[in-house]
Amino acid sequence: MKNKGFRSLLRALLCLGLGLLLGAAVMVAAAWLTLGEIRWETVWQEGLLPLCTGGWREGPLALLGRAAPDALLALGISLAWQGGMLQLGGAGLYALGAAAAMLCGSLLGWPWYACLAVSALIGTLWGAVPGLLKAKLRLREAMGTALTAWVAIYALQAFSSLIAWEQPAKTDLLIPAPLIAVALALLVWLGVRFTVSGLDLRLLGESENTARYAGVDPGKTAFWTLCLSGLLGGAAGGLDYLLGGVNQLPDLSLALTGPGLHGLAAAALAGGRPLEAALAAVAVKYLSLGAGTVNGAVFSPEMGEAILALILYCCAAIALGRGKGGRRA
Amino acid sequence: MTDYALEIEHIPTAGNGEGLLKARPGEFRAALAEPSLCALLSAELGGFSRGGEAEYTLHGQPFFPRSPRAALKKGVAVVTPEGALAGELSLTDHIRLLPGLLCGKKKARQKAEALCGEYHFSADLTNPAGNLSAGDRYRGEILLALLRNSEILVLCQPEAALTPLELEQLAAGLRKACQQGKTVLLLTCRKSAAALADAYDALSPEPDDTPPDRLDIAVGSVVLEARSLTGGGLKDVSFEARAGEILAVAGLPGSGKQALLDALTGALALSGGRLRLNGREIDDYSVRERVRAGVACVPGPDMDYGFPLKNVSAGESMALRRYREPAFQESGFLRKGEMGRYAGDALAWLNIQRGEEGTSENRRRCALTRETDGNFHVLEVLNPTKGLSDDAARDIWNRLITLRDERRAVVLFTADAREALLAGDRVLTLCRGEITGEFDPAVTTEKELGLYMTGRRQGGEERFDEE
Repeated sequence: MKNKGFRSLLRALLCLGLGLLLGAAVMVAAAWLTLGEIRWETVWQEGLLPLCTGGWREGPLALLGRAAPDALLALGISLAWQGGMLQLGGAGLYALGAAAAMLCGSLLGWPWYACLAVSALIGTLWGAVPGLLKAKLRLREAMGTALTAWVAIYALQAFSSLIAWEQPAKTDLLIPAPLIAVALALLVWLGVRFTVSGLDLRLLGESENTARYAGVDPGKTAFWTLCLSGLLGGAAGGLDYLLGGVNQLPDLSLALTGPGLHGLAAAALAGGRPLEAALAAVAVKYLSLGAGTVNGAVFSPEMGEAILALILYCCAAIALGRGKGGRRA
Repeated sequence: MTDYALEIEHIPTAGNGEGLLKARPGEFRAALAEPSLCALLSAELGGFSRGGEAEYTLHGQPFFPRSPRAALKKGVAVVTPEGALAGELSLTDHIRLLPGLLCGKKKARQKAEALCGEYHFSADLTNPAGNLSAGDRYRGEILLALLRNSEILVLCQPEAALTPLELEQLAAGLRKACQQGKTVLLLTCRKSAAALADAYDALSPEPDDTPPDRLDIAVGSVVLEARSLTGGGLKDVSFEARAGEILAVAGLPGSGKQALLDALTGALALSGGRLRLNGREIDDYSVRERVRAGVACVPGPDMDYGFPLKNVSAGESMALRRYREPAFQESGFLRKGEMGRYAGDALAWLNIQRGEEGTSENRRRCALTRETDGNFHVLEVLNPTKGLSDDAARDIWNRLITLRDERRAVVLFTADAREALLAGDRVLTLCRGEITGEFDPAVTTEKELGLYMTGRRQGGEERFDEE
């Protein structure tokens, strides 16, 4: 129990378990409302079982490939987390990244790696906005990232009449995608753990006072961290588009469900640790894919998102209970 | 049935002993204990923490409040130097919000003024609590406790918020409250404060008030020169720190010690003034540049700069001041092995076993060792002994004196007048961002220092406008 890694794994499993338990209770209530009575067999056969096993339907390779964009997004959120910052702009970065990849790929005919690079660049530039606001005006990054996410999604919607959404050309990225995610996860982990800049970031995560007295410029460090977080978020959107996972211009629902929530849930499950966040994204995607296979006549398709939200809530509650948010009696 | 209003048994005292404390209704009792024990007892009595070894009995019934609200419901009010007042609200606003008292501003003020008149103590009723001095906040909390009709008042370490004179005045008022049936328990680490009560129990050995030994050396040249520092709450602060001297800057919480320390380290941007280190202007130097120039800093224990830190390893915690040096990094990559060895050597030198690094005393010792390893000209340290036992405090003072004997300049910021007089070679008092006096500790008393720390005197003159 003294091993930190073992404890964090136990915590993640506890969050998952509690979230599923609460989700099961929600499913029972949903079934009761739909069917007029509680049918445990229906809940199990049509709800819980497909939820817990549906993610495996296309095989492990497909699961890993589809989880890669969520892993990148979770990585970006975790990176900011290491610096004590809450990156809530995942949905906006994802949307911009996907739109950029679509424009470069379908309209300009660029190869996939160029599209991915442009997505990452767009994400970096957009991530720099809340970074600048935090560095210069001391605007809390939670507010800055969330607001810029909404601006991005609304702006894309405003231009929707000018952008005809095109599906990507067929590219077999299902195998390279997880490799890209793993490579970036390792890079981020190495950078955070073993470099001077990574130590600066972790000192900022300790507290602004710690960073300041250690000679770290909190504003500059926050700016570059949010830029990098944006890079990963933009790349996530671009990769998902190239994988064929984005069928339309990302809309407002993204701000509350879908990749934005998945990335946050994975980062929360991992306690903000980059490598673990990439792994947790696979678990989150598994649940999300499973949610797509439940009986739509009885359970709403958003059931999966609701359960992920409950898991996120459990993670936050457990973190608070450990004394991170308040005083223990 | 018991004669006692409050009984505390199995109090964990030093040397694995157990202490006992009993207070009758209407008694003004004190307990002389180490700061950590005072904090522990007040936290458990106030419902802030549970699970300690001590057992509490209130009028013969077991008393283990689950929360501050539960403690208040039972009539036990705990007042600590940190306080629990909301910074944006004035005392009058707090009074208006008291359960059972919900009333308008005028009525609240009348009640407060009547109580202040009855117990002969003063409280600032109009300014937001965040703008009040530590002493005003402390008195304000006592006023709220009295207005709540709390039967038992537990006052934790009032000496951290009030000067000796203010304590005496407060004691006179509290004695009156005891005559009306209230029980007052004073938890303090100062014998002079404990002696104000009707009786006191010594739960810890009485603190040693003899100044620590130091070499008789001539004070050297000016190392750090500050001229007219203004900004961040500081008002035209000027002083010099010399080689071979401990300059103690004594000020109550909220007097500007933190701001001054931050100004000297570069963490606070000033609007005016000049700073020189060994004759070199360092006003525009960043924190890192000042560290390289020879400014070492140990901020207060509340500033998350101790050892070890949560997010980083022990090696990284120990190398905080030097991790950019070639010894600990190469081409931007940390040399973790070297950092680990460095931390191990430091802990071995300090004789700290694995697992013991987290105690308050060891954290301070490690932080001090970290900051004073390597080349530095001036060390700034804030509240280094806050919350420590007397023995641990002496250990820290001896380390500062060793640095002073090695002809470094040490600037010691403290809220404790006793510490300033025992550890300092020269004492400055700070009040509301201004230097109010300069003293020779050999001929100055805590009481006199207290007058200057509260601003009642400045530059040798009484300031009646502060009444």
